[in-house]
Amino acid sequence: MRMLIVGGGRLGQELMKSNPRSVVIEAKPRRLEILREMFGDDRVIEGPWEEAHFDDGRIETVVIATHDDDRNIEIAVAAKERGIPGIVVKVKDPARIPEIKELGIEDAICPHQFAAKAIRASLVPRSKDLIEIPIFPDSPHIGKSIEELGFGLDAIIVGVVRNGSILRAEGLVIEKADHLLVVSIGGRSKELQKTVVRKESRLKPFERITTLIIEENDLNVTLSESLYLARIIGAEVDMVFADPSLVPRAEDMATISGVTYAVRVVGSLDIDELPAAAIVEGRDPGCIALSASPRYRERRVFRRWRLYRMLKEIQGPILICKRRHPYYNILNIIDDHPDSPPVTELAFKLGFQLRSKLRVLRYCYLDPRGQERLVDNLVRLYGVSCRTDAVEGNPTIEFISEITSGDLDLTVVNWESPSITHDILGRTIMEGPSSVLIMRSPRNVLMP
Amino acid sequence: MINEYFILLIIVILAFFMPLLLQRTNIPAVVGEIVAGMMVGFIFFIIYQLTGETFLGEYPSVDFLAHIGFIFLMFLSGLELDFVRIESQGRKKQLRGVIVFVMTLLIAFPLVTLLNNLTGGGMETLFVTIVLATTALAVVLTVVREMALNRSPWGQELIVNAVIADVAAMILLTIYAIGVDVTGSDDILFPLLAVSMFIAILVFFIVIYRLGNWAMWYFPGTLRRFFRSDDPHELGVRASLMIIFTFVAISSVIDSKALTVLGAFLAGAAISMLFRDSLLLGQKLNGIGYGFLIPVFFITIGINFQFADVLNMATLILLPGLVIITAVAKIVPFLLLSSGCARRDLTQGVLMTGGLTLMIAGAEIGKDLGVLDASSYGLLILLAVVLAVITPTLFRYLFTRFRLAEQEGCL
Repeated sequence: MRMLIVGGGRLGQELMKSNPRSVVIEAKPRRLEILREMFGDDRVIEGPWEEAHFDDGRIETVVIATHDDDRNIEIAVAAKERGIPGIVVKVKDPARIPEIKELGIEDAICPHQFAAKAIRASLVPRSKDLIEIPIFPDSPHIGKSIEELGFGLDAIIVGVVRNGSILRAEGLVIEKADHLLVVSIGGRSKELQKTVVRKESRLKPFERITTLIIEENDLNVTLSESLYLARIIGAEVDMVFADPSLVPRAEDMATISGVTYAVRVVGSLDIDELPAAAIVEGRDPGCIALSASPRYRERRVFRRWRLYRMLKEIQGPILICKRRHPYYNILNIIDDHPDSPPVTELAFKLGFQLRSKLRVLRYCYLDPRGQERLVDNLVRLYGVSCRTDAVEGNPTIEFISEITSGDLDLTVVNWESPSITHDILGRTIMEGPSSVLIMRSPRNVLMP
Repeated sequence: MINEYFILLIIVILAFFMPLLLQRTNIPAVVGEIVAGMMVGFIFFIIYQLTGETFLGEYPSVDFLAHIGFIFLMFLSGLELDFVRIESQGRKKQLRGVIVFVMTLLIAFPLVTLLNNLTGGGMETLFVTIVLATTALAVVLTVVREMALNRSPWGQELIVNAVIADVAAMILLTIYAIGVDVTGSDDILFPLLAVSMFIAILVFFIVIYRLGNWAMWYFPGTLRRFFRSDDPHELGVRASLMIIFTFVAISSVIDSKALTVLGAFLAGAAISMLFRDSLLLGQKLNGIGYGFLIPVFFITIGINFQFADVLNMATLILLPGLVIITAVAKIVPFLLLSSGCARRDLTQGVLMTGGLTLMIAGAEIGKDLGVLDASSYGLLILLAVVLAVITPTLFRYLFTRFRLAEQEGCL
């Protein structure tokens, strides 16, 4: 294997040592001298790097490890265009890794991240963790005894938090909304949490996201947001195209994100055919994702009756994308409408999966204490960071104040909510900065 | 003659004590206020009969307050409209409400005509029919809330039917009143002016709604003050008053009471439509209305009640006749459009019988238009009072008797 290393710093030198068939490009004269001394003239090329260096057809892998992240990405793109099969990019800033992955370059590494991992690993044998594992209402563990969970020798369930008190774990039968208190050694806490929580299939707010792609811009907005959401919640993506020429790019994006996807081309995606296009016989469309493009405003897609028809025909949620992902902050308003608590729970499910912070406005005059308890239960159950207040004045205005503050990434609303008029919902969709998830008669209710 | 301030004192004393006296009964406070006013009026009537001396004179300030009270009453009736409920009931239920209302009119009209012919009375039959078709939305809301029905689909249906009957009756009354004004006027331009004012009010309603939506979106911080309990300037109340009196001022251009009523009603409806669930603002406005102005209106009606015009045989025969007609016209449509549970339909029809506020508003409009003479006016007031006492009590009785709460599929 012939490896070309761009940048002969410490990392480059280490790689040169381990691979005798590797060649390095270096621009700095002083370092060039050292490299030549260490590896001989024929393994060192004088830089700076230029595209011609990729002309050598024998190169199988290129490792780009200069000190400049932008430069590294630029070289990686050039290598990708030349069709070099193996490309590894070093970046100092770990936040740039997703960007590189979106370009189709899988191996992007940050040496600091590796170092931190190694340091953590060296500390692990001495660590002891006390963690709280929630039992969700549809957990397969409900009805089992604690002993049946069987965590092994390095973890033990010491107690169960139930209805606000701690019970001894021995002999207890697991109930929904229990929180298992687990002590573990050797850094097993995350793994344990996964083994218990990951089995919650219905923790997914929806199984599938049907993404409507009408024009090129939808790739960057709707598809990108749908893929983000699907990847995290473990849903599939059904891509419905109006323009077949967009399919290859969309497929590339879906492949890179690692999400299971299906492609459907429906020719012209007329606005009136949206619900029909989303539905395939015998297949639950899940959540319909579309963008809030000005084109829709012109064609009045988000008019009350059109949205109503879509929600009625699809019987599922509609996600209006604004490219606000990742969703750090989610807003929801809970009121007296019977569908309101399940929609709030959906917001908590999303918050749980996406690690988002929740802002919940409570507006209730029938049973305000009950509603407060409900939100507290959800906070406890899903362990999501949540700021919640009871609305004193007008719920619509408080809702608008939150929306227009610009701090929100996703707003989860109940279509039937009496607190939000459909005109205001229309403005929230068209003019509000956050993405909007609209629900009507939510199913799969998991209330504790 | 009694001083104006003493009259006001009598009114506020009655307004204070009547709800306390009625708290153990199921009679609406409004009825108590009218009856209390009637008792005061009756005492003065007896004194007049015995001594020939009149203690009551003209009280323009009290009349003005009563008129503002009437405007406030209509405004608060509009504010009670729950648009979310109407929307969420779907078109079928809305259409059913409209059909029930139309059937009520169709049943009531021939019966009222027949009664009028039999008694040889001089009632304006079409007008009385519209007044009979009204529903006491406030009574329906109170009963539904008290009996915890507001969460059941049936409770929602009751409210929506009452709202539709109220709004439709209000519009018909206004159209009728404009019709009478137009035909009775010699001015060639008057019809044009009347129709323009009617349209102007509807346009203003839409403008207020649009403007309000726009302001809510772009200035939520400012509008937030409208709904705060600690706003020293009570901006919400001031804004509401501004909207009410804009509507009222537009409608007063042609000096039509019906249009004023519609204007005040639409002002309430516009605010209810814009600011859903504004409990705090609603409470403040209720405080002004039901705390002072509205009792003044109802008690004044009672005090001014002309016993001499009503206490005669013909009128006293008409009263039970109208009670029966109203009941038949309200109950039969529900039975005809049966939902599969006749007992439920009968119970619903009973609650819908009688329109306290709007019936009185109708009587006021009729008197103002000149289509109702003093005895017909008094008769309608009595009818409103009698129905408001009977119907909620009968509804509660039937609801328990038929065990509707326990019957599956009925609620």
